[in-house]
Amino acid sequence: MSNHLVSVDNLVVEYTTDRYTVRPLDGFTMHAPPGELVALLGPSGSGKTTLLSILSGMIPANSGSVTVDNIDVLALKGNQLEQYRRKTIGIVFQGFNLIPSLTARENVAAPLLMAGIKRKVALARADELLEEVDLADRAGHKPMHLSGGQQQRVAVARGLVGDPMVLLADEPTANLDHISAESVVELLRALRDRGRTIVISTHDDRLLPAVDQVVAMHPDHPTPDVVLEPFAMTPGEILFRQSATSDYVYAILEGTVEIVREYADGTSAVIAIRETGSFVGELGPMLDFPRSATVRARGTVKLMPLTVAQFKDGHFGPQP
Amino acid sequence: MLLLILRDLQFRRWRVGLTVVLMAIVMTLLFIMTGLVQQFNIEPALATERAGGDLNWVVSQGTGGPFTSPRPIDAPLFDGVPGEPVLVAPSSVDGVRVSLVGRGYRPDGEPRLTVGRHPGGPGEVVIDETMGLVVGDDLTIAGLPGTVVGLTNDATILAGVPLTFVTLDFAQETALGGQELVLAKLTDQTPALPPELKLMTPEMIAADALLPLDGAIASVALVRALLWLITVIIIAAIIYITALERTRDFAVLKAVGGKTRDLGASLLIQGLLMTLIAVLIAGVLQSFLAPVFPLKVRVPANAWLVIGGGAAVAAVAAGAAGVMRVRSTSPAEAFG
Repeated sequence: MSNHLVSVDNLVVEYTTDRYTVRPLDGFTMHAPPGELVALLGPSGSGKTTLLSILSGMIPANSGSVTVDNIDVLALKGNQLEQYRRKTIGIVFQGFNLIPSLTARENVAAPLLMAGIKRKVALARADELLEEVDLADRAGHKPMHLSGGQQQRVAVARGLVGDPMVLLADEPTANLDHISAESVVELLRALRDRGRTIVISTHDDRLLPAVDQVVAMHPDHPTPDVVLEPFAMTPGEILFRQSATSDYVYAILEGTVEIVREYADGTSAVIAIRETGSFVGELGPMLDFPRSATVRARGTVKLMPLTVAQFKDGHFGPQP
Repeated sequence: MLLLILRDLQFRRWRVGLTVVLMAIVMTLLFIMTGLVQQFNIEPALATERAGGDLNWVVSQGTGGPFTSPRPIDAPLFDGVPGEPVLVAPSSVDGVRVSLVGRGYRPDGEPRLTVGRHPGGPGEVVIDETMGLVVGDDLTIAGLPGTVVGLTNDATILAGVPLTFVTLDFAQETALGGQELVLAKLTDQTPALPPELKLMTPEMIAADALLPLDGAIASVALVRALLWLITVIIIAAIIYITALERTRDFAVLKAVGGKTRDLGASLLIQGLLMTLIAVLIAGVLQSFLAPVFPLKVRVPANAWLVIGGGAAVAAVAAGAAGVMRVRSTSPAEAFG
């Protein structure tokens, strides 16, 4: 038995989009004990929402393990999954995702109604939770008549309706003004104080002082500042592979390289050719993105590695 | 679950209302077309009954049927054949085409009267109510004066041509210029007949009278099939569009523990509810619209079952596509 309520170990998730494979989570690990507010921090595409989807049992993983309240989430199927989503976790979606045809009260009660709980009981529970999120007076209003902050509080109340130990919230302060955002953070902290583990995804680092643990979904990869000497490559030699961490920009001093896109089905295609006097691999290190393609020497090639600073300044030794 | 269904219908009430009205209009036409086909099919049997009750008709070999190709022959040729002479001939009343029936009448016999009495002498006429005449009205039959003495109903042939009952003598005078020809003898027996005569049962006569309407019946049946197609398309489209529109809702409800089966069922129930309401509205609408038609629209009782049931089956079948959509909706879509 782990004393962590949420445990994720060596998680690998990859999916295919537009024929090539993306791996938003690659050996990801995190742990959260009961009563902790955890922030998954990272830019778009860093795997925050993918991780929340995994934790809520909505998408499969390629490998690794995910345990929530001692339940092996990746092994759940069918009814077990529905039970898990109903009782073990609560979810707050980005953009609230309230059902527009239902009142605030009915939105909160919806998971219970779907579970076959009697309407009277479900609505009474909804009233209790709306009271808790300070929205009792808006219970009869439809989402379109609630402010963004109020909608988010209703969404939080809905996430709590099954009295879960773990609440997952995707960008809970996105699209909210600072007053509404503050009240939502205050609410999440209050729920944390009552013993729940709350995992939120955010790209807003202003929230960080308010949380107990920050999980960086996209650890910084400082670009190297060591200046290297020019070097030569033999025909067919790989300069760097698709998805590898980006480091240097390369100036082609002599020869030709081909840029190759590798696809999920194992095939590959040359998408561009770069010749003497041009650069290759310049965007990856500047944006801190992984390499988007493989680069291979066509013949004998002479290259000069450049740091991002050198590339930006344009002050480097032999000009290509 | 019912709350979620009703709230969604309420939320989209304008679109739901418009769809229901559209379905109801198409179904009203379906009711009307069904009533017309029913009338076409039943009209010859009723007319045959009004003209000759359940008696057999002895006619000349050259007669295809009394209402389609009458061939009157000299009365003496029927000598020895038991029964009552009758003449059926095309004619006109006040310029309207009619089918003239001349015979003798018993007070309790055919044609059954809705008002008045049977013809007893020259110029006395019993006519179908669809002519819009009343007892005592004067009229002109093929140029001769006459008076309405009684009215009957369900006495039309060939899609609405009214039967007009007169005495045999008056029929011979108006249709044949006084020649003593008869078309048939009505008999309750099955007599041995000379080669130039033949016996037709009421069923044979009705079947013969239906033949000229084959094209019309087939055309109406085709229109009816097209209306069914439109009904199915409307139902299918609305259920599928609803499923598409609610993809995010379904994803959210699945994400919070909703079962695919329940969500799919809610979609089907919505479709069935809308269909049921449309059928009820169509049933009421057709009762107002049917009397406006020049032909009698005889909607059979089972039309409710056929149209209601058919539409329900269409809703379920069409809903299956929507349910597939619900099934394929991943709860992960709720994360956006």
